[in-house]
Amino acid sequence: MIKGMYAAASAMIAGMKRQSALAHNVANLDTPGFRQILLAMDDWYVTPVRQNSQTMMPQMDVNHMSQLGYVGLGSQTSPEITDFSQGGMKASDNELDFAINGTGFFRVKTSDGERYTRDGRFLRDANNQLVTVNGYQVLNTNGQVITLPEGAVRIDESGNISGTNGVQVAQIGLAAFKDPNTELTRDGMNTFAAKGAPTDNNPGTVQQGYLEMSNVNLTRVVATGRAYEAAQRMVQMADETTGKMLSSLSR
Amino acid sequence: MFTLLPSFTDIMNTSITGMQTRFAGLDVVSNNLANINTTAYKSSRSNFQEILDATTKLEKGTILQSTQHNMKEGTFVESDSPLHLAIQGTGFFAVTMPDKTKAYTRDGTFSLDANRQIVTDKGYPLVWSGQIPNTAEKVEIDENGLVTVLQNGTWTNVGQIQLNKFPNPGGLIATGNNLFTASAASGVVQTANPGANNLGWILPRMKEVSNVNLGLEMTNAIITQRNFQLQLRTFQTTDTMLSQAIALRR
Repeated sequence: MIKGMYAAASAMIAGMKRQSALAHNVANLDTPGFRQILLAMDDWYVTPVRQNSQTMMPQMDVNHMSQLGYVGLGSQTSPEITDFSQGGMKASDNELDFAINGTGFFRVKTSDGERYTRDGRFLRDANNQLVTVNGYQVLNTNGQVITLPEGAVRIDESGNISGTNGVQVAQIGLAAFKDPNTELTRDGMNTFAAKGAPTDNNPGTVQQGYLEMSNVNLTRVVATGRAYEAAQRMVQMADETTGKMLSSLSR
Repeated sequence: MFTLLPSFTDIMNTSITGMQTRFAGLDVVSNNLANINTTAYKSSRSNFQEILDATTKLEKGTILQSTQHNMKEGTFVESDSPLHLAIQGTGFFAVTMPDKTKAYTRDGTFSLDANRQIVTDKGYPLVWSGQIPNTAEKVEIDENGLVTVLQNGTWTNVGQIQLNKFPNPGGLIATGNNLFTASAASGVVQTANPGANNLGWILPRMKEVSNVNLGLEMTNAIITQRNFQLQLRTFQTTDTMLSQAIALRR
């Protein structure tokens, strides 16, 4: 009975964690390149349920009890995972907007080191360097910052950057990971930090004049609230039952 | 795995960041829609960005990282006035503000004021090397920025209009009235005659049309409004969860 109460309470706590991820996803619905957080619910610990085999002799000895089965002690959220599936492509007017068609990431330089992002909203800064909306420098295939030529620029599918004279000046560096969920951690500002070097040689292609939208899926907005409500009712019911037991025992 | 648990306030704040950014986003869209007929107006877009708590990495929603000007050139329409100038290329006209600082604009719908100065529709004088004589009957400006006037039946050259450009025009600060000022992000201004350094040419008797894309902006307005409703809905769900937690003990 008390087990039931804790089980339901654990579902409420898991529900909060889930709602937090959901609110974050919804807030970033139109952040280009944003990857949604997925939180699966896991069964928590289970405990055996036993029945006393000698009903006339109430001994609390495990050897004299028969096992009826197991009861779950509730649920917990499994560790956050990121959905790295591709988002939709949106055409843009800006020649420095880019999208990646494939599994790769743009390499950017932050004050904390190299980070990876799918967000291709780039700008030309005052020194003609290619930077993200957060001011992080975009890196080329050798991990160096990219200086753009004056005037219009053209970027082909392999990320080769050329100016109006057609001369190639740099190639945008892409990095890909075989198992991004174990190799990358979410680091804010739409970036991910890697535990090691990129492990995949097939990052995909670059599309100039396109932005990749977020991959947030809205279908679960309502479900979390209802699951929380159900768990809350279960806590109340467990409490009621405990109350009834206490009041009948005291007579 | 140990994970930090967010509080209800944290979750609500996440949705509040979503609502605040959409409010700002609607302002940007409205401003674009209001300037669909403004000469040489450059549309803006809102750049939303994901934020996490710096130390705990808990989800914090989104912020408006920047509003970015779309510096794409608009189309051109003809005009009757010889003082209506458009720029084909990346340059800007420089004008002198009342406080003697310089501002930059691509809106070249100039006219002559009572002191024979070439001024914008707000009366800010164009920066150029020369003066229109009092006796000038007609003024013509060519694609190289050469200003010639007709006096007593002869055309004489009275000065030169130069154009200005910036490494990152997207980093200019919009100060209203279709004017921009330089910033650290825009870089240092380069001034030269039209035609030099990719500055572009002057198109006399032309006006540059606003580059606002009506269809795109209407779509953005609808999307932003719907997104606001979604943030609110998520906020309300969190609020209901909070009341349920409070109602545990009846």
